Amino acid sequence: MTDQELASEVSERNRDALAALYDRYGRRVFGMAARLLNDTVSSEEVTQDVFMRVWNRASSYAPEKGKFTTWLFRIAHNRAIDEMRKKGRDRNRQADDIADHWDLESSDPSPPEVAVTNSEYASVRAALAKLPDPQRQVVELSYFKGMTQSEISEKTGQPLGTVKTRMRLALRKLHTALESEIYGDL
Amino acid sequence: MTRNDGEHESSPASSLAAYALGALDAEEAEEVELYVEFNEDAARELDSMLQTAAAVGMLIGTKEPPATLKQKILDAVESDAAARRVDASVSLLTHIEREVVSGAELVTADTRPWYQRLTDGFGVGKLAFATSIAALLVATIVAVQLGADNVALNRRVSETALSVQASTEYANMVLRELDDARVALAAAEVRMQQQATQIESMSASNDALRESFNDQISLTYATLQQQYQTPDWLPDSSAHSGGYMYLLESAFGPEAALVIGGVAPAPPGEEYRLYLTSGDSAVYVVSFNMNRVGYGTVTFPIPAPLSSYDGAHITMEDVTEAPDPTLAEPANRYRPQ
Repeated sequence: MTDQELASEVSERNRDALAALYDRYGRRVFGMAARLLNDTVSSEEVTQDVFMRVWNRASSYAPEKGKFTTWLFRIAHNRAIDEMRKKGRDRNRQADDIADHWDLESSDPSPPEVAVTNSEYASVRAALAKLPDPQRQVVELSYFKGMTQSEISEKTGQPLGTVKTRMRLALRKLHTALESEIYGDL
Repeated sequence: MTRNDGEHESSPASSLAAYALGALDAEEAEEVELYVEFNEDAARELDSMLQTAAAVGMLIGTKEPPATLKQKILDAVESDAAARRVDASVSLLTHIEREVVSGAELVTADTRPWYQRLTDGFGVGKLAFATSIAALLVATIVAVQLGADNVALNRRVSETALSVQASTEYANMVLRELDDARVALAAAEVRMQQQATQIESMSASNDALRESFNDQISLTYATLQQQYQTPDWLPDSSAHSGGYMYLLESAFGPEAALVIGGVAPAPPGEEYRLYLTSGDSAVYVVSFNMNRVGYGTVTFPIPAPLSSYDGAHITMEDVTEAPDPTLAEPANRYRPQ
């Protein structure tokens, strides 16, 4: 079954469909939380909360607006960032360790994920690699390390407006590169 | 500095990308959300950025979650589903309750054949319809049980009211009897006082009677010893007084004794006086009174032997006046009542 079909089943309160989605994306969601929070217990809580939101909000997923994975990881990222800020993590320390955690080549999708998302991962990695270093840096520090734009400005020594502009340009380029992946064949 | 479309760097429009990447604090994020709420173009741009950022998120990498996490999620889902079923049941029962309340109106308003209305029930789904019927049966059973409980409760209330009424009447009766008892007790106290007075009077009379008897016994003893003897004549009064009177004369000198009984005591200020009569003349010999029980005994000197007289007479006279022998005239002789 496709992600869309499973999401539809979940909206009909089908536990097996939710279990299938967990098998496909559980490691990815948990991995995102673990990288952001650096805390297994909190990551587990976030992952459980993400799939509970999928269970309760599957009916709000609109396939015409994008793929299920986009919808799922948007929820997961927001939830992880919320948890991170709630816990008041020392992002500077995390940023110093960025090289240890941020390794695009280390992605190791589990077997169920490979069939579904392998091509997506390759596309996103390629799109990020093509970004100019300053633009990729602000994406990494914000999205993967949870730093605010003000913190990035302070850390990099760049004016706040410059940070905003680099973020906008980076997302526009990524969107252009990933448009087919985001919207699929719809 | 690079600007886009002339946006100021502090405006919400310039922070859409940062919002999509999660790089805003809570206050800044709220400003952006408020901004896109009233700006469709900005909303579309933000949506596009959010989807791009989410797609990027898939690159972070994988990590094996705890083995128990999947089951924990499914258990939580099951608990949530159970809670939703309970909520749905409550909602259904609430709905049924409302339907029952307005049942009369519905019956009169829906004039279609029953099978059409039954079809409507199946139209919302067999499961929902069956659930509704089951819930209706449960509600009916509960209503019947509540009704039975209500009847039993009303019966108990009525029985209790009757019991309270009976208890009140009994209490009133006891109070009335208590009042009667108080009245009777007061009357008894009055009677007891009267009886006490009577007893006191009888005791005094008994003492006087005992004294008179003692005197009489003494005189009788003296008579038996021939110290006194009765005259040959009897006083007139003795035949009419209802009592008795004896005159005894001493065998050893000019002295006599009077024993009288059954005569009421003289009123205050008056006394009895004894006259010895001989023909038309009378001679005063002694004054005396009766005790409270009507007895009297007195001894007195006599001027001549009783045999020289033909009779005796008793009068009741004022103690302040001198004896009046004329009162002992036969026509005026006092006769004790």
